[in-house]
Amino acid sequence: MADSVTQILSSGPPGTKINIAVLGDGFAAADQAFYNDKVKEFLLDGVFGHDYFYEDKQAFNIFRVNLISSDSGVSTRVYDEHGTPDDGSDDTIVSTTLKNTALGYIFSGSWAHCWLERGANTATLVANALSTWVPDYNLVVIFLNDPRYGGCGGGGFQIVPLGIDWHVLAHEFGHGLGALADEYCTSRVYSGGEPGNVDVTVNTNRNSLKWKRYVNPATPVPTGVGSCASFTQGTRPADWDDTQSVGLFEGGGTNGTGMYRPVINCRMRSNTPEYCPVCYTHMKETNDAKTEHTFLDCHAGDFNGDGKDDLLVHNGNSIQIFRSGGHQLDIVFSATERVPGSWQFTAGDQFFIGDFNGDGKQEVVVYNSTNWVMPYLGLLVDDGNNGLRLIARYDGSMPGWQFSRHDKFYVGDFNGDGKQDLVVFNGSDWAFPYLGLLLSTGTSFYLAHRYDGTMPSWQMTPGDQFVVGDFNGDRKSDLFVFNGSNWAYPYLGMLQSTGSGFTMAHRYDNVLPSWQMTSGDRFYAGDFNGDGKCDLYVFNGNNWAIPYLGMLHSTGSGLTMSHRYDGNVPGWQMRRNDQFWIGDVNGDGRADLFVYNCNDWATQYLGTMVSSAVSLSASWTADWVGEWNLGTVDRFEPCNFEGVRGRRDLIVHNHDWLGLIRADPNLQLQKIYYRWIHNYRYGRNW
Amino acid sequence: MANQISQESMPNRMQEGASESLIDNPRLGRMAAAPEKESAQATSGRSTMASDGKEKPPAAASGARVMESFAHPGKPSSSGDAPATEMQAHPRVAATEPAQSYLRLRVRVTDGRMRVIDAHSVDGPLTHSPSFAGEHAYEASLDSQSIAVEGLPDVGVSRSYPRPGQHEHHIADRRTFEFTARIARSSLPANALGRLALTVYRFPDASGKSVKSSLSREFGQQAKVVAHLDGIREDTADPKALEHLRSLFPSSFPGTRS
Repeated sequence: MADSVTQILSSGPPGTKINIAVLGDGFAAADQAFYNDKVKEFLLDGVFGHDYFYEDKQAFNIFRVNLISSDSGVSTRVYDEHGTPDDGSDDTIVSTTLKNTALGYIFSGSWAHCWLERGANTATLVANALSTWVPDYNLVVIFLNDPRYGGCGGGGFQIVPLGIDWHVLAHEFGHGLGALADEYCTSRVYSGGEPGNVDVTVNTNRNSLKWKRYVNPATPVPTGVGSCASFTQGTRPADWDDTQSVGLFEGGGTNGTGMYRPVINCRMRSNTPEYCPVCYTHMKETNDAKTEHTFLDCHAGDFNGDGKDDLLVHNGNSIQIFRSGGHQLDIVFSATERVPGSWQFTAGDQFFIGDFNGDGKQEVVVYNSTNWVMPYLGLLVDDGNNGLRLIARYDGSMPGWQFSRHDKFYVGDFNGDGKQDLVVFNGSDWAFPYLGLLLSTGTSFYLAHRYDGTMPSWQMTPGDQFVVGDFNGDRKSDLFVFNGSNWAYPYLGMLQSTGSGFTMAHRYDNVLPSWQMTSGDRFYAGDFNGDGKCDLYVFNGNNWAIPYLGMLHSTGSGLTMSHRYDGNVPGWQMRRNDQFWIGDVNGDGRADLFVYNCNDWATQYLGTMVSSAVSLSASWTADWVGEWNLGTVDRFEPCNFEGVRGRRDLIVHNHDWLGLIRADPNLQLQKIYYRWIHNYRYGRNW
Repeated sequence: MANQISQESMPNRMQEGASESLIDNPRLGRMAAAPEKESAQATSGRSTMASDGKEKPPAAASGARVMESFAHPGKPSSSGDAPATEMQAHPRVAATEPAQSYLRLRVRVTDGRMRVIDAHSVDGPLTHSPSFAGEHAYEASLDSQSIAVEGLPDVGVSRSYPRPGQHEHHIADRRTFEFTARIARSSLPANALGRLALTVYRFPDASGKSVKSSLSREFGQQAKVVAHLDGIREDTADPKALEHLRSLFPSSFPGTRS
């Protein structure tokens, strides 16, 4: 067996990430599987399976180097410490047992000797191994094949035997990556000046305290006084959290008194708790650029079936899922590079959310036609542990359908079996357009019908636009198809699903009832009168002197105009760049509209238009929704993160910011996040 | 009353309850209350769909791409296929990435003296974080222009893990420490190594710092020089590193055949 390297966490090119090289010493050929398991246990499942490192694992690459030692186990040394185990200067060597290992480390178990030491050639052997196997490294973790406890860190290296657990490594990474100070105490008394680290201080002034933004005004400062103090100043509040509630506690930085720490117990004090808000935020800020995370590509879906829409955020080769608790989001899943199955995430992935297996939870269809040698379509389902796994993947084609670059997908339950399906349309990559009906079995998709160039009473052309809605109330999703660009005049078709195909229920040529179709018409499907049949809103802001909005209600086989608004809806002056999304603001089962305009006025307007079944009434807010400053870069995802009746919520997001907005019908900001999603008990990261 | 849009200025405020329509484009007409099918002018030269609902099957031109014919297979009895293979990367992606590369220098510092002990060229892009944490940082500069800055948390110490059930480290300072400097090849001309300077600074605190121009300029006396290397030459680099650097930057070493 030869030495080798395996990249076990692949987040991006080495020059853009923090690279961890993992080496093993004293692992013979027969020990390699054991070594691989230990690397997984300590790093992937341990450090990078929890809290901060789990969240930000897209900032890291991990390279596991398999070095074959001749002997199993590492060299060992026994010291006579002469009764002074804290002082290594008077120690003498009792014995040394040398083994022939890849790196030549010698484990002594002596704390004052950093538990271990290098052999004569260790520095060269380590340098050669790194130079050979890891193109670039920032941190090095070396596992010694010895079952005892110990470990020596510093200078970007962590050298550990196997008797530790991952929490210690996570603590040490706090030093190695964030320059965090230890927060533990000894009996020492500190009398020096202000320490440089972000997580210890001598300052007891609330107003100038370096972590004051996390200290609740109701918390006394200092909060704990005395040697390695806990909460001593008054009564500890009932909701106090020893690791996440921030105050000022005496003891820290390896001192018992004279220096203070932010919380009673942080990972930098005793390894096992999560990082406190001060350390967490510092780690986030330090490594944030390496994650390359933004909030640009967000998708709402109820991934655990609790009635509240969660959030999936896609960034390059990662996805993260944030669980909605009704009023805030918390991370529950973070996957980098791939999910089991496997699907390898890349920047060009497109996501489609739906309950494709009818289990009451929403699944994810992911499609990529740009980043691989062929297009791929995958079905990701709940992995039973708040995450996703791939259960079906179609590589390039499925029977009857060859995936192409410009395939467009639409989600709906087209056969009414409770499992959502897909319609796929391609109008540009072939000699003529194709439309396929891909029905879901719950674990896969199959092509139930394909239309080549024509559908019943409809000649497909590249400019066809589809909107999904059950317009006849038979619990099978139907299709509205509009074409305003490829013919002498516009057409709108109502394609009724039979469960295995489509028939034309009605085709409108040039005009709809009380509506002159033009190329700029935009359609939004929703049951605005609550009769169980999906209706259509139609808006045109471009082709007329004034904008128009029509409410076309479905009779099941056709459309009639319930109301047409010429220029303005009561409460909303329409403009050409108005954008609309379907919602149900008041939970009455009637589809309402969210409306946004960031282009036509001196400031931005976000509003709601609530349907009375036959008319709309609008309200709006200008420029700000609470602390959210509306802007041209904002994107909106209508959803129900609260889990209340209707669909009255919006997730608003842009590159750096994400907000939760609810409409009752007044628009209110429920939560705002900057750069990352984290719920501080008090304060925030900006 | 709402303002009509003008090219000169945007309307200031949306008027709540506005009763009159705001004309966005006065050159266009208004929609009729009850438009008729033939009311709009058909776009010149374009055809219409078949009015009898019988659309003609498509006929592809010879050689045009069409999908293979499809026979309705019915619902499959098997479940989805868990793929056994990796997704296949596009060859052109691999071919284009090495266009960017960076120089990786392993540097040893002993008593304020700096020496390059290893050097590599790494394919791929390089991005430095705009901020860093820690008491130490290095700066690479060329002709006094900063070209790379990174923090060096945790250098120069050796820290034994706490004993079981305790929290305390045994900490020892190291007389010699090493760090890695990374510099984009694009900022290093072939003859640059003799003029490349590396400086390790120490700051009074380890808090996060942002750098826009250069460490010495922005932090002044706060940034104390721990070690400095002025130019990579025979006397400042180990032979193995030097050999590699000669091959990468031949013009930097007079007498080296390019």
